[in-house]
Amino acid sequence: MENIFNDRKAQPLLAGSILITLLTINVSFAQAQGNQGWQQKWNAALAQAKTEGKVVVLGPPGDRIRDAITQGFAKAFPDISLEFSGARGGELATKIKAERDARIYSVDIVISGTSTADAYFKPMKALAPIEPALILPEVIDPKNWRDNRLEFSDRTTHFDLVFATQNNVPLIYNPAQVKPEEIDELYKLLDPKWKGKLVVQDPIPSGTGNGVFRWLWHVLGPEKTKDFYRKIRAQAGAIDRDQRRQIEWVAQGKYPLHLAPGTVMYQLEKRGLKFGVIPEFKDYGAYLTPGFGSAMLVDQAPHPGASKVFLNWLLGKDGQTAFGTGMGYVSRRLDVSNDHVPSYWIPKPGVKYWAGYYEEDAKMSSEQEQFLKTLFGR
Amino acid sequence: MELTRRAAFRTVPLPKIPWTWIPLTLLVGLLILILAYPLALIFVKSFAVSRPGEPTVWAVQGWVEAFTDANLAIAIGNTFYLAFLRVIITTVLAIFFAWVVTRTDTPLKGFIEVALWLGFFLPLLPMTMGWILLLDPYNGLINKLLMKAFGLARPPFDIYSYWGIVWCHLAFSTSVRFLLLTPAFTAMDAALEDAARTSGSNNLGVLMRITIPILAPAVLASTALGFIRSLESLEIEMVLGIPAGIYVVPTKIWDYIHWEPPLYDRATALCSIFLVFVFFLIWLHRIFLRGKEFTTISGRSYMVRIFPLGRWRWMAGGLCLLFIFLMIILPLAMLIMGTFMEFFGNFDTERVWTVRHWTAVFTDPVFLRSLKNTLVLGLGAGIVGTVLCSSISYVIVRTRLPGRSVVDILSWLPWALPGVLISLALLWAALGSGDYVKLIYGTVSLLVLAIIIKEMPLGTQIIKASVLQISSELEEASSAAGATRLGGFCRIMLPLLKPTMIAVGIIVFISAARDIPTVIFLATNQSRPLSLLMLDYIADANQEKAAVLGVFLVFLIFALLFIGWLLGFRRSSVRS
Repeated sequence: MENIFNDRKAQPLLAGSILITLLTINVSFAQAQGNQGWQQKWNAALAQAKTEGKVVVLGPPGDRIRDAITQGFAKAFPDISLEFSGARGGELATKIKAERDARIYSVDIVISGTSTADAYFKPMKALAPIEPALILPEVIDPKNWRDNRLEFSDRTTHFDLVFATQNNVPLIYNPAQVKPEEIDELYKLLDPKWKGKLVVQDPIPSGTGNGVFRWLWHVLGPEKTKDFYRKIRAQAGAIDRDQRRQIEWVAQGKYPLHLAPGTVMYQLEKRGLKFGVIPEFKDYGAYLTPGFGSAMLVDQAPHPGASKVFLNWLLGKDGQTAFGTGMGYVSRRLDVSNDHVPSYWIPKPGVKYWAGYYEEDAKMSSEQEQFLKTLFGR
Repeated sequence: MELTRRAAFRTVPLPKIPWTWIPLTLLVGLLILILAYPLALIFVKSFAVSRPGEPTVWAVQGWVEAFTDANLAIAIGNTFYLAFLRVIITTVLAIFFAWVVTRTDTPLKGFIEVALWLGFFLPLLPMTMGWILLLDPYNGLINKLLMKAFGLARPPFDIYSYWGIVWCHLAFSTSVRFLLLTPAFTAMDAALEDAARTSGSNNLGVLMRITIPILAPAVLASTALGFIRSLESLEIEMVLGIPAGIYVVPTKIWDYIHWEPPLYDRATALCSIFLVFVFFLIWLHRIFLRGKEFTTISGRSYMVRIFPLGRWRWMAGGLCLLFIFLMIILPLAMLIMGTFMEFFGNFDTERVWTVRHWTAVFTDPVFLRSLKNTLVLGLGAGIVGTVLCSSISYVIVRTRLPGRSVVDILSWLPWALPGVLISLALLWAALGSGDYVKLIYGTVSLLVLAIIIKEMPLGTQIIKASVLQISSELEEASSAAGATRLGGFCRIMLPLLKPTMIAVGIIVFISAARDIPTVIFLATNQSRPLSLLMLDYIADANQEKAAVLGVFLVFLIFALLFIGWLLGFRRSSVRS
């Protein structure tokens, strides 16, 4: 038998085979190392978390979000207790600022809307980069997330991770008094027959009203928007901030239309209130909101190990399923079912959506704010 | 020479400080620490206008913005208009009920008294929802019934109006005034009224010319309380006023606090309106009481007599029962009914009736811990607060110690701030005052302190009015017989003050159990009371579960009162 190594025709093939084999061995070795790497980190975090014994999470008020987070985490990690406190963003920030000024660091994680991070925690320098705390491959792998990436409201600094985005319904109506085709475009709301029959969520404070009115400014431009603001204010029969009251008014027929309904609409619908939904306007679409679906890691968290464990649970399939089911939110994870989510919240292909939760878009300009105050201020 | 040297070294004698100055100094120091310091802090910080994370900038911008608001004048006008209306109506009603229950032979007095107490326990927001269910102009049950029965084109009642707001306040405001006036009416010696009747006065004349003037401290104190509370009232004004475009100063303060980011500077600036009014009230109070005697309990035998009204007693009883039925029983029934409905007041849903709100509340994982915290908070604030208010009242009225005027003024100050700003003030004070004070942060003790501060004006003024009724000769006699001052206080004053102190303790307990704004910044997950659980439910648009908690608290308070009654803590009531 001839020596294959001396066969000139075979040499390139041989060299290539050896190279491929070496590369394969190298990649497998690196993977094994990587596997060992994240596994080691995870085991270390778990061990540290068990020693720490608890994780402290702040979030919005409400027993639904409290239950969604605490019960799921308790099932997954019974050795680590979760202390959850809910309050509005401004209240959370006031407390945390006062604590940090007194060098008390009591909070590990904040779950909230993106405006809380942008308006409060980032300026206070109270946040730590969240990515170093993400360990599990199912969390880090962008293939598991919509748009093949982890989403942040602050796209350059990556402190505030957005894990849920859904369609923000702009309008609901009473089906006994209104046909959907009568109001499925934005400017149909200005039809004289609706004068006094529309209730509008106050656009001045943070919330769905603020979001819708910022979206209008974005899609229509300043001049057309100001004109629209004036006209919708003249159309409105009431301006209110109580989400439930406005939705009940629609269901009762007191006001057949409601612009910028709050996210409680889903809960009220599940409980039996009847109303129709315009998920997006045919002409201008709608906008995407994370609701309370963003997470921040607090700087100098008192329980760093437990923080990591909680974050990785929250952003993994189990955590996202628990949160999404409890809140009716659309997770940005691709492997979480949307069966529990109303169809009007699920973004549809082909519809124009504006992602208004990025840091640069999250605040109204002073011109816009001033104009709204003159029209809607009380 | 020796004499000169001795003279040179003779020490200058120090002034003798009476030992009684020590407790006063401690009291003034305590009040400055827990009252003046946090309140001063919040006013000082209202001039810091920088946003979170930015270096502090001092300016008057917040005050300027607050007072140049185009709608402020209307809000102030609405606030005072509603307060005047309420105070006038509830003063008349409370005096009438207190007089009927304590001084007349009206039938069912016991029931009337208990029912009026009930009015105080009822949670405001769910009760308002009950009234909306009945008097909403669009689909209120009473409006629909009357329109159908009489063929009316428009609903006769609109709960979203000035009178709607006043109406919803009547039960609670009248009940709290009744609660505070009844001990004073009970403790009044009938001899004064007897003398007036002997001189030919009728019952109404006795009431207007003897009873009310003698009880002026209590009437004034409860009127001042009623007025201030009316000025600061928020819940009902938000639910009923905003849909009708009726805005008041507390609504504006609330708006500023809930701005993003919160505008505490503007909110504090608006509170100065209440502060000015409080100082005006203090001045008015002193002017009225100066140089007058209001003793109704003295060393002579003390007699309480029931006066027969004759056939008028049926009218008096009927009026009381009508008020109780309309203002307390009816909305309470609606409230309880609402807790068993899927949607409060909505009969059009697929499933109308349910018990799931009750089961959800009692199976909430945080319910038991919140209940425990509430009991600790309520009992702690009720007992410690009452003792503190009694001490302050006694020092102001009974001693001649210098500085008692300072104590008096300090005790009024918390009325100038809404609960949420008291909470914020204490947050800043507790966290900014050194490592030892910081230890109290996150504990129920800080919540207890917050509630005591909030209710201090009420407790102090009411107990002060009762102390004014008791003649000093009783303690002088005790002292002459060899008792110490403390012994005299415990064996003479305390038993006579007991009814008032129990009333104040109950009010503070209920306030502690229900208050949300005063504890919002101070509670943690571990120290959270039931009121914050109620807030969780309201945040999820589940007012039904919040109403369940409200009804539960009513029954809890009744249960505690019953236990107290069994243990012998009885408020003496009048018996013919």
